[in-house]
Amino acid sequence: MASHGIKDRVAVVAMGCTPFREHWDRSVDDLLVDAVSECLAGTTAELGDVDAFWVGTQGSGMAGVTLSKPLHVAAPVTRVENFCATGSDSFRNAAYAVAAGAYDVVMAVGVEKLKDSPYSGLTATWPPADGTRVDWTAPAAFSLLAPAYAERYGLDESTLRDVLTHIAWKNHQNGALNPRAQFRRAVAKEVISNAQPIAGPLGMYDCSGVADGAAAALIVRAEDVGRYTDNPMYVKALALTSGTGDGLRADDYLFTSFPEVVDSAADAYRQAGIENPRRDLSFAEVHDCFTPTELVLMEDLGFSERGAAWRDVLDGVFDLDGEMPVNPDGGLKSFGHPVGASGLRMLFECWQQFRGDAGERQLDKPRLALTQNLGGQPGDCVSFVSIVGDRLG
Amino acid sequence: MTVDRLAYSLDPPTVIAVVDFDGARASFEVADGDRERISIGDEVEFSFRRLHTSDGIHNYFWKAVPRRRTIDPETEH
Repeated sequence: MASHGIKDRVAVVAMGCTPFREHWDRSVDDLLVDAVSECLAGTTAELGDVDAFWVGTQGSGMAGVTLSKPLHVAAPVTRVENFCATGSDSFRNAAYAVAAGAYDVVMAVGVEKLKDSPYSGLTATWPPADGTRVDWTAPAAFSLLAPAYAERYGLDESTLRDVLTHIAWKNHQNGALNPRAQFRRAVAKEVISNAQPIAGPLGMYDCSGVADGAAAALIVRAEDVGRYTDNPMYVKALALTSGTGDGLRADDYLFTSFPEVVDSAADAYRQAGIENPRRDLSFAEVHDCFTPTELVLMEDLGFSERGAAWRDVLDGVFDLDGEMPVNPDGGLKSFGHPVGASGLRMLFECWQQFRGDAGERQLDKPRLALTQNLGGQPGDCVSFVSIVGDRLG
Repeated sequence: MTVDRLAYSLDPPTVIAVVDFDGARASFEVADGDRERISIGDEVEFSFRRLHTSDGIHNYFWKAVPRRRTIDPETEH
C-alpha cells in the first residue's frame, strides 16, 4: 500500500466556521447554511460555481440531502462518515476529486449537532449485534493511555497529573483567546487537577467538551487560486489509516501509542517531503479528545522522542509561545467536538494563522502546519493527518 | 483496567478490564465486590452475568471477576 500524494495540486481558497456552542436556536440546516455562507462571502465564487460537495456528519444527517436541501442546490453531494475523522475525510475526498480532474471547484463541509441529545457525550447508532458488546464510554477507553504511559516511562502519579493538567491548562489558555471557541476562559491548574473524576485518572477537565458546530472549505486547482483569493492555503499531504483493531485483540499492544497515527503521519511526511516535523512545521492542530491522547500524539507524530513528550509538555514546548505550538486555537478542549465539523475546524485555524487573522493567538509568520484527527479508541481507530502550507514549494 | 463513571450501569460505576489470554485479548465488564481495586497484572476469572436488560429481557454474558484466592472446602467458594 502506498500513496502518491497531491502536494501543491489543490488549494483552499475560502473557509467558514461557525462558533462552536450550545446552539439551542440553530438547527443542523442553520449551521450548514451559516458555515457555507461565511465560506462563500470570503471569495468571488458563488454557490452555483461549486461543482460538487462532500458533507461530513457522524450522526446529524443521512445522505447528501443533508446539505443539498438546506442549500437548495441539486448537485453531487457525498455524505461522509469516518468516526471522529469525519470532517477531515470529507476534506480529503473533496481535495482528491479536484486533483483527479473530475471537478474544478468543490466544497468540503462538516456539521454535527450534539447538544440536542439528552446524553452528554458522543452517541452513535450501531448495527444490531449479538448483545455481548461491552458498553464503555470514550473517556474510559482513552483513560487507559494514562496509567500505561506512566508505567512504561516511570512517571509517578503526581507527575502524570501535572502533565495532563498542563495540556488541559494550555488548551484552555489558547481557547480563551478565540471568539469561536465554546469555552473562552482560562482554567486554573488546581481547578483542572481537582475536578470530579470521569473515568480512571481522568477528571472533567481532561475531557473535551460537547458542542454544536459546522465548518466549510472551498477547494480549487492550485493554478486557479488567483481567481478566488490572494491568500490561498495549499494542500501538501493527506493521509488516512484505518487500523486492524488488533490492539484490542492481541496482547502485544501497550496503550502508549496509536499505530494508526504513526502510520498516517509517516505517509503524510513522505507526501510533503518533511524530514523533521518538529523543525519543519510551524504549529499543529491535533485531536486532544482527552489529555492523555494529546500526550501520546506528541510522540506518534514525531514531535517528541518516545518517552520524552511528558517532559516537553512540562517544559512548555507545545505552549502558544513555545517552540512548537500545539492546538493554538484551543483544540477540542475549548471547542468541544461536533464530530463532523472538528477536522475542518482544525484546518480553519491553519487558514486563519496563515492569513494573519488569528488575533491574540497569532503566531509569527507560520508557513507549514499539520492537522491530526482520530476516531475510535486506543487499539482500534482511524487516524487522519494533513499538512497544509501558505505557499507553493 | 479503568473505572468508567460516565457509562450507564445497573451497578455503578462500570469497571472495564482489557483481559489477556496467552496471546489473545478481549475487553470485559468487571463484576463483584472490590472490583475498583483490581490493578494491571491481576488475574481474573469469569462469571456468567446479566449484561443488559431491555424491555424486561435480560442478556447474559461473561464478566471478569477478581480471582478468588482461597476456596472453602465446605462451600467450594
